[in-house]
Amino acid sequence: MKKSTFLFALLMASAGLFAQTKKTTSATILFDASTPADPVAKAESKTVIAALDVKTGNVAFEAAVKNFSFENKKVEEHFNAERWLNSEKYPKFSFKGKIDDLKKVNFNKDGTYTVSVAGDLTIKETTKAITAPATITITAGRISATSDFLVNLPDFSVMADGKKVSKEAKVTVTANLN
Amino acid sequence: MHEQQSGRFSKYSSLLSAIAIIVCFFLPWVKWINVPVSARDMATGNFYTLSETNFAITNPFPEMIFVNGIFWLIPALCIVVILIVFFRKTFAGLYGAFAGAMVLGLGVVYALFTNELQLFDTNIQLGNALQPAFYIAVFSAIWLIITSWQKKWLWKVFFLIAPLGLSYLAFNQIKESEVSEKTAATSTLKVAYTIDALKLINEFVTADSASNATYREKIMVVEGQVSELNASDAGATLSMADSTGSYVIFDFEKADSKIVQAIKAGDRVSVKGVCSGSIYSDILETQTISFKQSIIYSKK
Repeated sequence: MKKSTFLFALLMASAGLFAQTKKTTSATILFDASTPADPVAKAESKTVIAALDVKTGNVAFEAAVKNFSFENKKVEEHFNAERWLNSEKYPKFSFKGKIDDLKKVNFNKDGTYTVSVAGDLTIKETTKAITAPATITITAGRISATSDFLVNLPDFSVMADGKKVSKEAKVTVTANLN
Repeated sequence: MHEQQSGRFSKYSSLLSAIAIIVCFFLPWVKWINVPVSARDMATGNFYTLSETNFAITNPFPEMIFVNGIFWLIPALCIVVILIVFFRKTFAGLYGAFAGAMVLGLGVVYALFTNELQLFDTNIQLGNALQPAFYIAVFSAIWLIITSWQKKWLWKVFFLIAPLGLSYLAFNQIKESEVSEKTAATSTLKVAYTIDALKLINEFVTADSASNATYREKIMVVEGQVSELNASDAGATLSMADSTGSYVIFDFEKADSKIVQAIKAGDRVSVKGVCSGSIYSDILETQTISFKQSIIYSKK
């Protein structure tokens, strides 16, 4: 193979690899550890980085802890404090996993597909395996994905009394991937 | 004769109560896990330093910290009680009643506050947190009020009940105002730094720790060219990126979504927001600097 042909082939392969990973820097995470006794422990971040490899089914997201917005200022301070998320020391939390049943999804055909995602969630440098259902929607070639799962906060050394702050926080991730 | 003996007992036992309160004032009333907190800590304002350091609970009225000095009246009034009883051989009267009432009021605050700390550390249980000095001070305060006069039972009841009710109401009032305090609108906040987006990105890329220390939680105006935006009625984000892919991203207040929808990639804008600092993205292999509660400051 000529050198120029080889380089061209390599370039094309790289482009192909790049194209198969869909990313966004503006995925959304809703964090809800509220309880009937105290409805204020809810936050949202719309600057979450997310990626989906449509060939391998690898999925990942990363969120800056400090960028979660609460309606209540004090709860936001507590969320970032040492005994909760300790954003000073652990500025992000992340997930790396894989779609278990990728074959269910036809990325070339519009539709809504329910899949199962399994992977590792890392909060405060503690990593736990989680499995969660996810919905992938294809509309005119655009991919959107959403998944919600429960996170047991004490498992990650995040304080929760179970009265005012639920021990199990509901986390909803939504991403429009390009 | 019997009444005389009983009066003498009351006077001198109030003297002992006053001494006990003075001693207990300087000893730990509660222990938040390993953090001892005395009544003196409230008088010096150290109470809030401890609560902020350990639980990120700040003084709700930092501008009024000097008012805490009023709690020095507890040992001061107790000294007056000792002098009155010892030298004038009379009842402590209002001096004793006020000293006792202040101890009871402060005791209620310490108990309620400590109980709230379970939210931050489930290992904190009120029963275990309260220290012997707390109980001795409270019982001494009750006895001091009871023995401040020979009779005047109505006054005694008033000084026993009023501090409990007032402290309970004040504590819950402050707690409610804290819980219902909304995050201030960004438009009302004072700008700490105004900077070009590429300069800001470069600062974080070259020295992220120093830049995080400088800019995190600061109100900033960042000017630059829009590289990407995502906007709908539900919310909006806008990014400004450098040539390497590192970027600054703004999460907008819902009220500004419509304004952001009118902006296009390539436009130059100034955005005001609260800097959340940077993270290094393993997914993108770039530095990401994020802002929240952002608003469009100006569009050029």
